[in-house]
Amino acid sequence: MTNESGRVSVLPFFRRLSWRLLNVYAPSVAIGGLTILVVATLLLPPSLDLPLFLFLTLLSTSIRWLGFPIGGVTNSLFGIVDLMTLLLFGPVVAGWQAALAILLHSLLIYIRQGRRTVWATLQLPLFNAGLKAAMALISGAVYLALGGYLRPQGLETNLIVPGLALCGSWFAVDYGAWSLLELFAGGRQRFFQWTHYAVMAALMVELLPLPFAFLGAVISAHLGIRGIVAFAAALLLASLSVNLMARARSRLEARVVELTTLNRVSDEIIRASQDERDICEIVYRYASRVVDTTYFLLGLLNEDGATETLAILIAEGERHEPRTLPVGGVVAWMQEHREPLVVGDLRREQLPFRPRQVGTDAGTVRSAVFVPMLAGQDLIGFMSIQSQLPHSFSADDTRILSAMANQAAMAIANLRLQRQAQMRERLEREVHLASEIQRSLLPSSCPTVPGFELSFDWRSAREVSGDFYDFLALPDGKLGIVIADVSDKGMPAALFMALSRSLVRAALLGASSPAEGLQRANRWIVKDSSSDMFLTLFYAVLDPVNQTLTYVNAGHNPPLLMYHDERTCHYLDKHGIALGILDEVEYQEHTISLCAGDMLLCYTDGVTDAMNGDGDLFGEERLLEIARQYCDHSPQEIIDHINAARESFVDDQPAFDDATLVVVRCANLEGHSS
Amino acid sequence: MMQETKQTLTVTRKSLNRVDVVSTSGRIDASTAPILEQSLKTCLNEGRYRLVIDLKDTAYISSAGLKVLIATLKETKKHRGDVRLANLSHNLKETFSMVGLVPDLFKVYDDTLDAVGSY
Repeated sequence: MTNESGRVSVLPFFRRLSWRLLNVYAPSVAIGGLTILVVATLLLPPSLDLPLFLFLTLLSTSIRWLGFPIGGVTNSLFGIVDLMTLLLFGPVVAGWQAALAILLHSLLIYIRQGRRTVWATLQLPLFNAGLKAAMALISGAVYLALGGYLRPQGLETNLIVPGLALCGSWFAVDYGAWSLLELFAGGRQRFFQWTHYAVMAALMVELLPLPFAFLGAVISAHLGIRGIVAFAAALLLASLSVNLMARARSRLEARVVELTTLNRVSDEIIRASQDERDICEIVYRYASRVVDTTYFLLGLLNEDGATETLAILIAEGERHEPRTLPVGGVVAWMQEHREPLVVGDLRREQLPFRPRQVGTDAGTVRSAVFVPMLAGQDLIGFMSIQSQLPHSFSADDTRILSAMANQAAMAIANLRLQRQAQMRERLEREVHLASEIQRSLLPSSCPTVPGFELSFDWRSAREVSGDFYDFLALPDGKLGIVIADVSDKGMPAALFMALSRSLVRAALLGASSPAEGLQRANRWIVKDSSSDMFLTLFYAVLDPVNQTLTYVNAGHNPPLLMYHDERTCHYLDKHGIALGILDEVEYQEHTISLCAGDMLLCYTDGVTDAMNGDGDLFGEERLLEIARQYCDHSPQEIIDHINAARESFVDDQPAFDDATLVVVRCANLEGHSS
Repeated sequence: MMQETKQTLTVTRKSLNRVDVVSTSGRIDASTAPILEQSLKTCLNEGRYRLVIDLKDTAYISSAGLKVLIATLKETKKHRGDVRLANLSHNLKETFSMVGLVPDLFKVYDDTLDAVGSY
């Protein structure tokens, strides 16, 4: 049985738990065993067939090398060889052979796996060698004391009792010593675990075959060196086939563990997927159960697309703080390739990207696996396991890591989508609120002015609009009518609209004349707003006493004035520059007398610029045509006709501009004549 | 997401010795104005403050487009430059003059050559 092959990771346990007892116990066994061996050699100088001794030592080493994993540790049939040496040459030579074979085997491991801890390189092999020496001496002494003898010529019945004692004591000392080591290293829990899994398995695969040593000894007695070679070949073959079978079985077991783990990981992710970090932790925890995570990295590509966060960073079993970096290294590589990357030996192979994670750049890591975390085609991040040993990871490791990575990726992608949806929802609520506020800024009903009929219509392409209209109650029963259009659309336009509407209102209410009021409004807007927005505005004052209309046009679409008696149409296009562009502006105001039935139609360009599927605009001509056709109707009816015509014109095209209409009609005193 | 218009705007830029001519092709409305804005900003960032906008292939400009031109004009004026317009269609001339940008704010030329030569 061996424990140092590296496949069995008892070392983290050793590192974490008290070393004190272990550090007394292990050296004591090493020094004790080897010292007794030397003393025994001096007291009872053994006779030795050196070539055969070396052959048996090498055979023991080879069989040990063909060890097979069962029950969590690596077992092998090397005990048969060691006991055969005991039966042929006595306990002392067997002690030397067993200890030497252990040290040779450790050397082989060192050569194959390179730099390791002092414990694995020196202490463990020495402990094991000392133990083997002690096992040979103790079980040999038991054997001889019970009447057993060396070089048996046949399988005699009088050898049964000493033979069983030999095998039993050999095994008992071996597993007793290892159990103690486990106890000191990992406490009671680990001790019981060990006895349960390792000793039970070893009873079958190590203790039961031990009596074959007698067969070897007998064959050697009758057939000499050729017999021993044949026996060795049989032993090697048996070891090899057991090795292959055991590995196949352990792979199968590992697959079952993988599947179970995958199942659990997805369960837990689903239950706990409210936080990206939680998901990362779950994946790390479960990955630790199926692969070596002494070095483990989990990096997430952040939603901004420009940075990545190393959410979990474990190097040499130690956790490091998460960190956020600009995208680079493996993430940049993954963005292009979206496939796992396995590097067997970093001393011989180059990474296809510049590594910058802990470990890979420190030069201590020899092999690594990188897998992308993919949700469909979206790269969410990457995971990596690394090792100080070359070729540490199998295709199975890569596969299960990928599966876990993709599960986590899916969960994180879902989480992000959910969060985006929530954000959008909140934004929508806010926009909706803004829209309500904006609507509340606008008059909801028309004021009444004797002798005039008024109606308006205001619709926005989005929830908030850059258009506005306003009615101002002026002294002497006059009414001010404002229609305006802010450059641009959406939220910025809505905010600018709210600002301008207040400034315009304040300026006009306190003004001595419309032109003077707008000049003041312009000054204020320019001063108050550093944005490059401007607004076009038409301002008209109705005088019910004199039946006149006084207007100023600040860059706005010229309103239509339809004279009832002539059925002619005029554009009120004497205008100045839009508001908010130049500091100082001079506006001209113009006054027109109105008669019964005359109609003023003010609109914003959203009305005429409505576009149909062919890209044609609704246009002023169509507007004019409707105004002419329905000039005898009430303002509201005219607006309804215009809207109906626009809707049938654009068909199913979405409106892309805000549209506002204000219609004023000089009342026909006899009522509608149509 | 609302699709505002199917047409797109193409903006090309030609750097002459002292003047940059920016030509537009297509509608300039709220959805395409950022394309023009980007292109004009590039000129300003490179320290090119004498601009001619060739609007020969543009039949429509909305207030969002005007906003971009006004903002650019204000910026160039700070550096003793100017934005001058060339090849305005009848429609565009009406729009510019309606808002009062012509002749008070922008100088308008019949063709690009005149506009470039005016600097």
